[in-house]
Amino acid sequence: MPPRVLVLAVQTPFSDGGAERHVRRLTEELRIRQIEADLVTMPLIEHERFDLIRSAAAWRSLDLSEVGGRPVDAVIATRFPSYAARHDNKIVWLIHQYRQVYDQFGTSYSDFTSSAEDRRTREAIAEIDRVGLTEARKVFANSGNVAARLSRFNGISSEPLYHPPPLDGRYREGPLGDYALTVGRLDAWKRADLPIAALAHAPSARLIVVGRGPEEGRLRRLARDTGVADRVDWVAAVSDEELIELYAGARLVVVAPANEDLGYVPLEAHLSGKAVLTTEDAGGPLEFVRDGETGFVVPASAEALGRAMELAWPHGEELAVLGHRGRQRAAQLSWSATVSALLSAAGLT
Amino acid sequence: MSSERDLVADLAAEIRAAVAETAPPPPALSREGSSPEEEAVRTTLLRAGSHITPSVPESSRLARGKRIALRLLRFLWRDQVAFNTLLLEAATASVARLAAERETLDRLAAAVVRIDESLSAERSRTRASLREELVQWIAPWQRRAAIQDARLTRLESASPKSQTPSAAAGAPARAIPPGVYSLFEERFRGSPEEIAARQAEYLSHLKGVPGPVLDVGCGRGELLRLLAENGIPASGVETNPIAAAECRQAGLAVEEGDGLASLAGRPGGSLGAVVALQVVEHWTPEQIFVFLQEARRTLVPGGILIAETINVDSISAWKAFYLDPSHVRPFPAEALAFLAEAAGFVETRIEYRAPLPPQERLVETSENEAKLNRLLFGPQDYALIARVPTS
Repeated sequence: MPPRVLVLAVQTPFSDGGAERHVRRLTEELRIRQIEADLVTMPLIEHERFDLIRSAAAWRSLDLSEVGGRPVDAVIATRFPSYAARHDNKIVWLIHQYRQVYDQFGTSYSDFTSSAEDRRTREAIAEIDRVGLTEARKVFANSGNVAARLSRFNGISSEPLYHPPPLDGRYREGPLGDYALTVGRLDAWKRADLPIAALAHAPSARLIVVGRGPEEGRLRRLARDTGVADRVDWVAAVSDEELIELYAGARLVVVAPANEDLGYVPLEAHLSGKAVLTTEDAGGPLEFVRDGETGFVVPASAEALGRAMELAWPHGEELAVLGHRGRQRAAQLSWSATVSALLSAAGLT
Repeated sequence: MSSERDLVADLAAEIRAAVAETAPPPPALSREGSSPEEEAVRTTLLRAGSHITPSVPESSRLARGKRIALRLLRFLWRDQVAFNTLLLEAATASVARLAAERETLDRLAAAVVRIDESLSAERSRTRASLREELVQWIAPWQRRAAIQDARLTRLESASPKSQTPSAAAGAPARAIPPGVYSLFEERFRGSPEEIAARQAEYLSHLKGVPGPVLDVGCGRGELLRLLAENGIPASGVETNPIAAAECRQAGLAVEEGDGLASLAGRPGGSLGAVVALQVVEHWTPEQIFVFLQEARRTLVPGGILIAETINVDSISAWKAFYLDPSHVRPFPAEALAFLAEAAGFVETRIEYRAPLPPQERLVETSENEAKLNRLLFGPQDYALIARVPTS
């Protein structure tokens, strides 16, 4: 009888984003290793503050020790509050915490205030994290950055466990093109405004912005206002193949998020043999982008990014060397290593 | 490969230098050490910043039309916008000011803690050194108080009989009461520690003597204490009842009484050493000879005699002799040695003790000054050391 493992994930109804694809991929990777795996999802309701706690309570009330008369050998929980679920052999692979009450609290990315209700909610979430994570047999984090936050805010230690980006095995190196590439949903915290505004300081550069999101209008206005609109191309939706093509033909990839958990973009760029330009406060990307090793790391300002782009632009040979080195490093990630780490922590190897 | 590396490193260095010249990015919102309340106020202000002017969300219906309407009606809330901006600026400045004040307060509080710590350390150091000084200062006063207590006890317990004129007449003894003598010694003889340091010089003679040591006139028992510390069996005799009682209280084997009588009462050959330090000057020559004879009798063969007294050869020592009202006669070293030999001691020798410090002596640049030094400023004491023949 193959071991039975459940992957626990948070669902965003009517949406099929990166998080959903990631847990499906994990389930798939377990199945091809002769594990009877399935996905258990529940939505996280955020209508009112108390909904967060109610959702955690719903997970807590789930008894997954056996299903259909047969025991479940292990569960792998991912995001808040799926790890509130109870199981004797619970492994957590923390994608990220409920960041609004931790590192994002007090920044524009969090709408939590110091009202009594918000404070209670924050305390409750910290308690849910403490209980749900410390009772787990092992806690992995999606990246060193996520592990560092968990240690800083909750005093819980965890082991970073990386995994390859979604189109693993399909990225390819192509000739150095004549455009910089930035990829990602156009959310405020992804800070696509930085590479766009950077063009004003990089007269030689062109930029392709891949993605859509609530910031799109503002970003387009920014491009117009800073006089760089003629050097920015917008690509709203791309197929996998088109994305691979765009990566393969880029000159350099720019990624400037504010404290991202991990971020696939640098990995995808490196696997396509491209150097990455990022910022000192990018978070996860810094675990793969090393200044002067696999790309450039500069202060988080449009001017710094622009100057770096302009200086790097003519140096095709050097950019190729940086990209090549990045590829060597990123290519070491594999689903087999990731899944064996999870299974061995669960005692299932 | 290495040239590639160099090129890449050069480019990275060039970029680093270039971005170093750019303006730093706006400071992070979250500040070191700020409280959740401060963070929350900052968040609120930040969010207020996006509502200075009316806006239409990207996703709302008829967004384009609404935005045009907003732009047309802008003149209606121009003042309100100015007011919003000014208010927000003022609030933001206040928050920054508050944060700065809090940082100052934190620094001050830390400084206060440091000062407090250093003060309390200083206080305990001072207290310790004061206590030490106090202990040193109070010790002689405690000894004097003990002597006075003993005097009072003697006075109160003395039977009326002993105070009868006949008893007083029958015992010419000492004119000076023992309590007064104790106070005298306390004042002039030196502290017990100084005496002990001086007497320690005799330990080498007394180690390995063939029997117990008797300290005749043991006073406050300094030598007996030293002997006990060195594991040498010893006992003492002391005429002063206050001193004798003090010794016994300290656990020393001391008999109260006359040294000569005590010796006379002991069997022959029962002692390894007889010691009499600063004693013979209290006796007449006849008593001294009796003492020497009794010492010779009670000592075993090979036993030794040590008798320390004031060095008559040094005129400066005479003052010490006359200082003590119970002294009878200064006794020259040659005479003491002669009497000891007459009493049957052999190997008699004289050791001089307690030299004056150089600043109290003449500077010797000639033979005459050396002679004068010997006469005037020689050692203050001498000790006769003699042995009972072994066969």
